[in-house]
Order: sequence, then C-alpha cells, then structure tokens
Amino acid sequence: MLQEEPDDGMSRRDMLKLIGLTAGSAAMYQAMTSLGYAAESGYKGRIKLEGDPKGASVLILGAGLAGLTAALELRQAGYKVKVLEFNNRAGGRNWSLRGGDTYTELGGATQKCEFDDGLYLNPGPWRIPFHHNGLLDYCKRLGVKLEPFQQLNHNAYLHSSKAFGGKPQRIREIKTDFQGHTSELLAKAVKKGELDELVTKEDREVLLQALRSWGALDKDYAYKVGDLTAEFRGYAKDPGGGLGAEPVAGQIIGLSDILQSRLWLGLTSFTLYEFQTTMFQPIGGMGKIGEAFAKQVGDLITYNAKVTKIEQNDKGVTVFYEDAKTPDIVQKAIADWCVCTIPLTILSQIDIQVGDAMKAAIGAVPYASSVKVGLQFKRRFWEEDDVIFGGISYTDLPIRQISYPSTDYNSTGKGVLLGCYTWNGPNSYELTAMAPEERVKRALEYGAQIHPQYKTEFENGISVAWHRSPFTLGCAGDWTDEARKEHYDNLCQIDGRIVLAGEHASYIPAWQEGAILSSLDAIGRLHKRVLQG
Amino acid sequence: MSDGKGAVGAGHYPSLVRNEALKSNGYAVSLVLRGHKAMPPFGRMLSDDQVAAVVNYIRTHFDNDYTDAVTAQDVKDAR
Ligand SMILES: Cc1cc2nc3c(=O)[nH]c(=O)nc-3n(C[C@H](O)[C@H](O)[C@H](O)COP(=O)(O)OP(=O)(O)OC[C@H]3O[C@@H](n4cnc5c(N)ncnc54)[C@H](O)[C@@H]3O)c2cc1C
Ligand code: HEM
Repeated sequence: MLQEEPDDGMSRRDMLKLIGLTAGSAAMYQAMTSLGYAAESGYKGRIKLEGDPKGASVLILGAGLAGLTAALELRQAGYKVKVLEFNNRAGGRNWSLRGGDTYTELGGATQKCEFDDGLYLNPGPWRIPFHHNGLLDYCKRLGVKLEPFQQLNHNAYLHSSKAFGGKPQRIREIKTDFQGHTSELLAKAVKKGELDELVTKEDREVLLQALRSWGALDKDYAYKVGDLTAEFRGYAKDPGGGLGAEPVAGQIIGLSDILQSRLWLGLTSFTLYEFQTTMFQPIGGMGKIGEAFAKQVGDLITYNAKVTKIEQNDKGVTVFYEDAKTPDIVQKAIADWCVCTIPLTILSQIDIQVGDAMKAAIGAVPYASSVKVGLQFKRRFWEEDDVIFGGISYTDLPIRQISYPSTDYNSTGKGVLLGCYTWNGPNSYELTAMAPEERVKRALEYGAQIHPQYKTEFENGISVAWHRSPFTLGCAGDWTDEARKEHYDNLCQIDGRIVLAGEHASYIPAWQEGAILSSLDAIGRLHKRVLQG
Repeated sequence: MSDGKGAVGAGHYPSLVRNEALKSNGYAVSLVLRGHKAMPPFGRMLSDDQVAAVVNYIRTHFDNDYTDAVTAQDVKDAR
C-alpha cells in the first residue's frame, strides 16, 4: 500500500525503494516477493466445486467479500448456506459513504454524510490493479461497471513543506528533470570511460543513445532548457494559435534541489506493480461490489448478528450471536461446517473452539492504522484552476495524499476529494485519536497549503479512522515475515469443521483480491473434505 | 474513548479505568512495546522515554493510582 509511513525510521516500502535504487530490479523483485508484495494474483478462473455435498450445511461468518464469495459459490455447489453479519449491510470493508449515510465509530461519535447526490467517499478500498483477476472476474459476473482509476497524473503535485518554499511541484517536472539530470551524469561517466569495466564497448554506444532518448539530452548529452526538454516537462507558456503564440520552455529544476527536497520519493510509487496502469474503480463507488453480491445472496444473510462464541464437535458447529442492537438477545445457529471471515482483531477476542496452533495464529496479527477524510467542495477547482484531472498528489504533511476524483471529469458543479490518506506511523495514530470533526479540520488546514482554494470552496466532510471501525478494529492484517513463517499455515489449515478466510489469510493483505482468493482456496479445500465424508 | 473507558463494537477495546491489570508496571510496558492481539505494537514507533511517559500516565489517571513510576531504563530493559 502507498504511503506506508516509517514507524522506525524506515518502512518496508522505503526499504524497497532503497533496494530498487541501489541494487537494480532483480534484487528488488526478489526482495518484494519475500516481503509479500508483487506475488501474482493466482486466480485460476471460475471455481469448480464438483460432486454432491448431499445437503450439507455451512455457516459463513462475516459478509465482506470473502464471506460473500463463499456464500455465492457454496450455494451454487448445492450447500445449505447461512451468513451471519454484524453490520446492517453487506460488503464489510468494501463500502462507500454517500449523502444521507450515517456512520458511528468506536468512541461513539456519529457522522452524517452530507455529500450531494452522486458524490461519495470510499473509506476503505478504492482502486483495483489490472492483475487482480479474481476480483475483476466477479465484477464482470455481477455486472459491476468499472472505469479507470488514475493512479499517476503527471500534472498532480509532489509537495514538501520543507522544500521549494512549500510550493507544490508538478510530478511531470520533477520526473523529467530528475531523469534528465541523472541521464546526463551517467552519460558523462560513460564518456569519461569511468564505466569501461562494467559496460562493453558495443553497449556503451547504445547506452549513450538510450540515455539521450530517456533523459531528453541534447546532442552534447547535456540536459538543458530547450524545445526538447519542454516536450517532456511542459512549457512556461504553452504553444498557442495566431499572434504571440510561440511557446516558451520552462526552467529546469536543479539536481541538488530535487535531491534535497526528497520529492523523488514520490516517483517510485507509480512504478510499482500494484499501482501500474490500468487501475480500475467501480462507477458510483467501490461499495457497488458488495451491493451487487448482496443482490445475489442477500437472502442468505442475517444482519445485525454479532458472533460471540464458536463451538464445534465431530458432528457440527454451533455459533452463538447477539443482536447487535439488543445485546441481551442471544441466539444459536448450527451447521455441519463453518467458514469464518471475521477479522483477526475481533476473532482473537471471540471464544472459538479450535486447536492451539490456530488460536495462536489468530492472535498473532496486529492490524495497520489508516485514516481517510472526504471533503466536498463547491466547485472542481483542482480541474478548473490547477488543471488536475484525477490522480494523486503526495505531501510530507500529515494528510500524506490528496486524491482527485477519477470520474465526471471536466464537469461543472461539486466534487469530493480524498483529503487525507494515512497508512501506519505516528501521525495516523494521532489523527485516529482526534474527534472526526477535528480530523476534517486538520485535513482542510493542511490541504490548503497545497490548494488555497480549500478556504473558500469547502462545504462539508467526513472521516473514517480504521482503528475506530466497530466491524474491523483496524485497517488490514499487518503481517511480519516472522509471524507469517510461524503462523500463516496454521491460520489457513482446516481445523475440524472450521476454516478461516479473508484478506488476513492471503499473501495479498490489504487488497480485496486477497479476500477473494483466500475464500476460494478455503472453500475448495472444505468441499474436498466434505466429499470425503 | 478519550475517557479511557474503552469501546464495544463487533469486538472491543478494554477500559483502562480502575484497571487492576495496571498494578504490575511491567505488563503495561510489555503491551505497549509488543502489542497483543488487536492492540498494535508501538515498540518501534516510540522511544523509551515516550513509552515510560504513556505508561506512567495511564497508571496515574483514569482512577488509577499506581505511583511506582516506570523509567526509560525499565523500558529499555524490557525491549
Ligand atoms: C483504508 C483501506 C484502504 C484499502 N484499499 C484497498 C484498495 O484500494 N484496493 C483493494 O482491493 N483493497 C483495499 N483495501 C483492502 C480491502 O478492503 C480488504 O482486503 C477486503 O475488503 C477484506 O475483505 P474481507 O472479507 O476479508 O473482510 P471484511 O470486508 O472486513 O469482512 C469481514 C466481515 O465480518 C463482519 N464481522 C466482524 N466481526 C463480526 C462478528 N463478531 N460477528 C459477525 N460479523 C462480524 C464485518 O462486519 C465484515 O462485514 C483497503 C482497506 C482499507 C481499510
Ligand atoms: C500507546 C498507548 C497505549 C497504552 C498505554 C495502552 C495500554 C493498554 C493496556 C494497559 C492494556 C491492557 C488492559 C487490560 O489487560 O485490561 C491494553 C489492552 C488493549 N489495547 Fe492498548 N494501549 C495503548 C494504545 C492502544 C491502541 C492505539 C489500540 C488500538 C488501536 C489499543 C488496543 C488495545 C486492545 C485491543 C487491547 C486488548 C488486548 C488483548 O486482547 O490482550 N491500545 N492497552
């Protein structure tokens, strides 16, 4: 995930950047796979659960994407399915907040979303990589319409409060200039013969050509203001028509200024496999996916059902649950088998009858911290004034990012910005500790340093701090390599009549694809076990 | 929650008010450093001084009155 903030001076993502910059891409790939990123989705196409389960029943706990996938497929395979869900809606973390919705977080604060019709915030998942084939296939099957999600917009900003007098810089200028300067340096080294031992004579010639092309260098291999650089980094005055229309090339930003600003840190994120084009979002909000699943399997779901205890013996599973609204009413559900997708934060607090190994695994995974703030503005000033159509600006301010809507481009009227998106680190916890209105206020104050229009155009806002989410107690499983080695297999193993699923039981944590693949794997193994009798 | 009383949803955060578990100062230090279940670890995010300060704070607030303060050295030793 992006903007994983350092909690010890260097986050995992920072470390990846460092490896990438010093050791080349092979080392980067090796490191990435061992840290649990970059693994291919592993979707093998539509699951085939062949063979008759002979009326066997399954209780599914949790109606997030893992639970919904299991419900859809198991019913189709002939099982008697029932789903228990704490919330009064399906989807879990797959969720959009729209005008009129209310949300009560832990601590008791209730916010009412006051967005205009058609506007929304995706408090959790908001983008889908092109290689998350499982999720994309379900979107296709369920008729969820997608549109491109802009991850990289060259005209969005990189911003440091400590560099360039706090003035945000266009991504395209930092990128082109950084590439130009480093290409020039490398070309100099090649020509001076400093790389003769590393690069063959034949390759040196080609390398020089490549650097010239890649870095927009002139015929003397210099990176200098001119028509050529302007073609990449843009103009101080764009070419026009008629009199006085001659373009003026923009000034180049010095290498040292770029290096010291650390803005180059913002460049790598776009090149990561997880964030490469094409990315998608459902039209109308990520929550459309959960809603589409609910159209298929909603009749199987009991809402407001808070699971408090899970028992099993050699005959079946008994699950105790309270009415989330009236906790005194305790009910019992029984089934032959159980697929439990309750997040580990919560499951670790539930009395569940499984072996010690699985129990230890359930308690071994802390959840990441994340805060999002959605801000509605009177007009789309980022488009009208700043010429930013979608994409993300990155900043060193506590809000970390501002994301512009990847929809309804170039229209008049209002819009909602993602005005803050933190991921771990002290300032994510600090924002979580604040009341929701205070988070919105901070997002406005910080954001106004990048877009002063905030001050006059703001209308209303809403904020979700994931450690205060009543239904997850956190953002997503924050596995360490050591914990994975010790506990992951024990977590995923079928224990008697119970199998766990969810993003936490995958190598794609904090992605919906992880929830779906984990669920498909779990029900595939469960089905085999059922057929064995 | 800022009152230390915890909160309840599908899971819960425990109340720190008049909390007997705080009697032993080592327990709170260890929890903050390493986390436990749904409580995230803060060992890499907070310095020894910061851990001592927050533990001393909760042990002397929220109707708790444990005056045997934890020192930064205690935290260092517990890491
Ligand atoms: C801030 C943020 C950003 C993210 N960004 C992306 C992204 O851009 N793209 C992407 O693909 N993924 C993203 N994710 C990850 C994605 O949201 C998750 O991986 C996925 O939605 C998890 O699905 P799940 O079914 O495993 O869990 P959930 O969706 O959490 O489902 C679990 C269900 O269990 C229910 N439940 C909990 N306790 C109980 C109980 N006691 N009794 C009954 N029911 C209970 C919950 O209410 C919930 O409905 C993001 C997540 C967050 C928080
Ligand atoms: C850094 C400041 C913090 C301190 C000093 C602190 C202290 C404590 C203490 C003393 C307990 C034990 C209570 C008991 O056993 O009765 C506890 C438990 C817990 N805390 Fe924290 N905490 C802190 C931050 C947090 C945060 C930020 C979260 C959530 C995001 C959190 C979540 C929890 C949970 C879920 C438990 C129960 C753990 C279990 O099941 O064993 N804590 N905390």
